[in-house]
Amino acid sequence: MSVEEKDLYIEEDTQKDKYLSFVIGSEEYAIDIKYVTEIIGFQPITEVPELPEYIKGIINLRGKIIPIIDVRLRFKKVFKEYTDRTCVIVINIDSLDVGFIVDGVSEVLSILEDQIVAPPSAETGFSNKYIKGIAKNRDQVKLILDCYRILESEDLEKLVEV
Amino acid sequence: MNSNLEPMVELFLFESRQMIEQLEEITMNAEGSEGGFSEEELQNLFRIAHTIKGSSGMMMIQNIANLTHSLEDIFCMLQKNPEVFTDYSEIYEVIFNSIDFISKELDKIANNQEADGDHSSIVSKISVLRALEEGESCENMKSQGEKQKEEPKEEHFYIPKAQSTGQERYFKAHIEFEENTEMINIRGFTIVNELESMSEQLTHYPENLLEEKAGEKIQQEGLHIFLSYQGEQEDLQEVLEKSLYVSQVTLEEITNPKEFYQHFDHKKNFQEQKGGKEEKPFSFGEAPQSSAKKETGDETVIKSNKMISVHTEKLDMLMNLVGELVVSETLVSENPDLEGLSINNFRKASRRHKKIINELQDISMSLRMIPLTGTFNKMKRIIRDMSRELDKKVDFHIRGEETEVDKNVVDSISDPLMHMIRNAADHGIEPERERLEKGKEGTGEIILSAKNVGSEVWIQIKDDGRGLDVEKIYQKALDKGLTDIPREDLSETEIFSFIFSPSFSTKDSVSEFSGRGVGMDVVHQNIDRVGGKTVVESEVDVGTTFTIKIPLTLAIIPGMTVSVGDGFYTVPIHEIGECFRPKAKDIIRDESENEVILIRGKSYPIIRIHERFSVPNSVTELHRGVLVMIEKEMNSYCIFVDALIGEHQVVVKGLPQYLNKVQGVAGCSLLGSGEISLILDTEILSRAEIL
Repeated sequence: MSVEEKDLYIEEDTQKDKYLSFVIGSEEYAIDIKYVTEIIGFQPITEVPELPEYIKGIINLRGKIIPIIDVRLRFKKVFKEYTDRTCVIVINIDSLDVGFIVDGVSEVLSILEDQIVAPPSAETGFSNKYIKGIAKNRDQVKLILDCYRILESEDLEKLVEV
Repeated sequence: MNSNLEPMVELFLFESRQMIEQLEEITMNAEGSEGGFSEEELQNLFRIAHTIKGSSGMMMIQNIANLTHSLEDIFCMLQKNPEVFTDYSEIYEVIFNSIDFISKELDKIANNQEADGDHSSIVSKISVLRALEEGESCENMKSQGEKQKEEPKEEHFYIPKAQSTGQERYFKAHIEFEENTEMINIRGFTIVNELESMSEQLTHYPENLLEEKAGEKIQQEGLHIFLSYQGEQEDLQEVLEKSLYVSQVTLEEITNPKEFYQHFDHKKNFQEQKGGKEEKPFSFGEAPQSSAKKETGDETVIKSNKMISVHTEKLDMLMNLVGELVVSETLVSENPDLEGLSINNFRKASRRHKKIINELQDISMSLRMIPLTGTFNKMKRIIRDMSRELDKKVDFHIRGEETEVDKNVVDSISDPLMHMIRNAADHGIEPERERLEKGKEGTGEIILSAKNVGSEVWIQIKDDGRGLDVEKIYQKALDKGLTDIPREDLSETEIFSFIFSPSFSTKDSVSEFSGRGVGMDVVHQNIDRVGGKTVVESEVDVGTTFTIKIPLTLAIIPGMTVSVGDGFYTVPIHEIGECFRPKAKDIIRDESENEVILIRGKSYPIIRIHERFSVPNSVTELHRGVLVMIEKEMNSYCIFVDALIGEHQVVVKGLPQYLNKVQGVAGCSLLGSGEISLILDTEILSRAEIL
């Protein structure tokens, strides 16, 4: 194992089972920490025309332009005015930077693999496709977010085709 | 370029490609000029062949090295005796074949494959040519042919006019190593290195000591070194004997300098391997013939110092940084805190600052820009080959090749251009007889031109051939199931665009060059990739014109920033005709509520940005906002915005990939305040209006 690989391994190791939890409405969600680049306070967003409603627009993050998704709207919940508590979680997936608007960020916590159960399958009528697992941590239940699913979307695919 | 290649290989590929491009260009020129090669051209050719030979030898690419060695022979021969050949066409052919061969091998290496092409056929062709020369020039000396051929060559390059440095003595050393010495070639190399520091001129066999094969050779035959030395023979003897693992040394003085210099034919290789580190490895005196060689040699040194190759990634980073610098400069010099202050010295300093930054910006932009000359010249070659093969006479003209475009653009249009040129020559231009029957000149004409139009570069390929047959194309499209729209509902342009569909070819027969129906869709894809468009115009029996419109992809443009609602938008300044506040009475509404404004007797449609992009909180009464006239060649129009913010240099950034393409928005840029402004795509905006 080369030095580089070793570093990578250690880094991955320290991030293993770590999740960033955040709140939307009354639910606690969690996101794998390896995707998270940083958390910034809410800042004015430049609107871009002709985008699905949940993509709020773009922001300038130190010279980098990143798109912003309102997770609340993505979940088809009602829009809530942004407040001081509103945060943008900047994530990086496959070298794509995206910001997620959430109601508030709670903490970084460890969730062991055996604490996570799979969500009920779609056949039972459970249709939340953005959740890849449900974790019980201490007395709380956290819904583990599937970042890929949030980004992928039928509407966007349509847009891409155009 | 493949980034996982060794830097060394990458450099080799880069340099060799440049070299063969030059080779090609010179040959093309010579062929065009009828008079064969000029003295200077021959020298250049020789130098190029020689350099490629050296570097490919070093990279252990034997076939290229061998081939260029034969080429070298030809050039050398021509230099000596230019009158030998009355017909140069054979020579051109051989050179072109070699060029093709080498570039093919280079491609293989670039793809991490073995350069395993067989060069023997070309080499044998070359030997035939050489034999021809010998036959003519040395008729009476056939028996001594070999000797005669070699000797003048040595004289030509390596015999100094006067060996004035009389103390110079020449030695021949034969060194044998102890048996079972490991890495015998490296030992030899060490010795050679040591001697080099003492000697002015030195050569040795085997030549390439860094090759492992050399080790075996030394084991069998020993190491031969030829060198000049000003000191005593004993000193040399001592040095050699002291060297490690040496078992036997024979040192002889050579009294005849001529004999000595003979060995220096091989020295050339050695010099190459050292990468020309020494500025002037030899002092060969000023013999008239040899001086030429020497000069060109020096020239290469200078040239290589003037050019460096930089990874485009670094250039991109530089561009980004310069972009940020431009923005932050505005942030400082136009800082709101400075308003109303009388700070003359500061203003003076900041003006100077701005000037320098602007210059920096210009230069960093120009770094990525390269002229189209190289790409266009390649096309000459294609036309040449094709007109021979197809037996059509074609006049090929190039215009505006000095037009500079972004490096990326150049790379991605090279293929499409090639296809289009081929198509023009193959499908477009008719055979001579047919042309004469039609009352046209027997010789067809293809014009390849480039020019800057606004923020685009237009590359045109124009032929005066048979043109495209609209009906035929439509019929073919129907047959192939590409369309089911009735003929009446399609415009000519729409029908022409079918030729860009995959597997569309109207040529009935397939020739070597085109007709397989793969060309045009490749064209389309490649041009699409750089955001370009292709327009076809054609008339039967008059000719066809393909126009490729490619954005310059300039990263920094002057733009006018306007506001609509809470947002900012930027329009490239060169597209703006004028900005004005309209009077209510100038505005006309047509029957479908489209707004039109009359300016100086011309009518322009109005596009309300706030409606188009559904922006809330904006000005809606026309006389309260501002109209910005967008000038287009075909249809100009006005956009309606709230207010003008100002003119800035804006750094164009693409929208995040995730958002993909948003209709009407070309990209975004950062304003001095850090806010984002969307750059309007004026082309798309107007198209939406037509729909």
